[in-house]
Amino acid sequence: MKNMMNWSNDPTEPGAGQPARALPRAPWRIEFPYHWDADDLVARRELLHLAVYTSGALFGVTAILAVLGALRRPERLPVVPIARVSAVPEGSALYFTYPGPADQAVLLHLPGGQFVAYSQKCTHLSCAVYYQPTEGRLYCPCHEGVFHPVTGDPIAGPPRRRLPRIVLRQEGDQLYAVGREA
Amino acid sequence: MSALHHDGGFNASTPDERPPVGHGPLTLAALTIGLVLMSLQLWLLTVALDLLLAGRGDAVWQPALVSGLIFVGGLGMLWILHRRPRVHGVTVE
Repeated sequence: MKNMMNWSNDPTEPGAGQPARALPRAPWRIEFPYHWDADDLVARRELLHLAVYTSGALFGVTAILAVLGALRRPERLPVVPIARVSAVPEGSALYFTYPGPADQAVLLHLPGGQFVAYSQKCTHLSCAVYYQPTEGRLYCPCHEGVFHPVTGDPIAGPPRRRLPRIVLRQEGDQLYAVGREA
Repeated sequence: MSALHHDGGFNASTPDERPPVGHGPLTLAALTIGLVLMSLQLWLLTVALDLLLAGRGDAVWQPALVSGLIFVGGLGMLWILHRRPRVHGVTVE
């Protein structure tokens, strides 16, 4: 819908032929000559229509994510021997790859004897996280993200999701990686 | 289409459409609530993406359901407004 407003007395401007009353020209109108006659007037109903269309688009994208989530099948991962228990002293870490050669992971031998393993990929921007035994934390040097070594939960910095946990199985002195939890 | 001149007056020779008295603020209220709910939908979208990336894809239907309800509410609001047609031919000199 074209608005036929004309704020200018300049006969050279578009819409100057319309019957218009002379208005005092404010300095800002001279410095920023806006062609009101060329502007579109959007009614509230039209804007409401646009808002509903946008709402539909947002719902559509969310629904697509829901369908993708429903279609995702649990991955079957191989059983891979990682290390011998005696090779990882208490309070130290071992870096390995699982399930693929490009998927870096870290095995922690926590104080108290518990073994846990996580993906080494930070859930913020995928930098590698490292175990700092003196600090008792998993640390991402890129943006100073910190994860709890026992649970993998983010406790400081920008990460909001916990590290994917790698499921371990111990058979005698041998540790195996048998799966991955989100 | 309205022909609004610089002084706020309407050209009497041009057909005009305007909401019935009192319905303009109603439309404005619907628009305001709709924009707030739309921002909620945007947040729900980020929640759904976060759930999907965290491997909890089975829970994404919950934000999708709420987002869908908001969308249906918007459609209902449009339907209600279409039942209240604008008044034609009202002109102000």
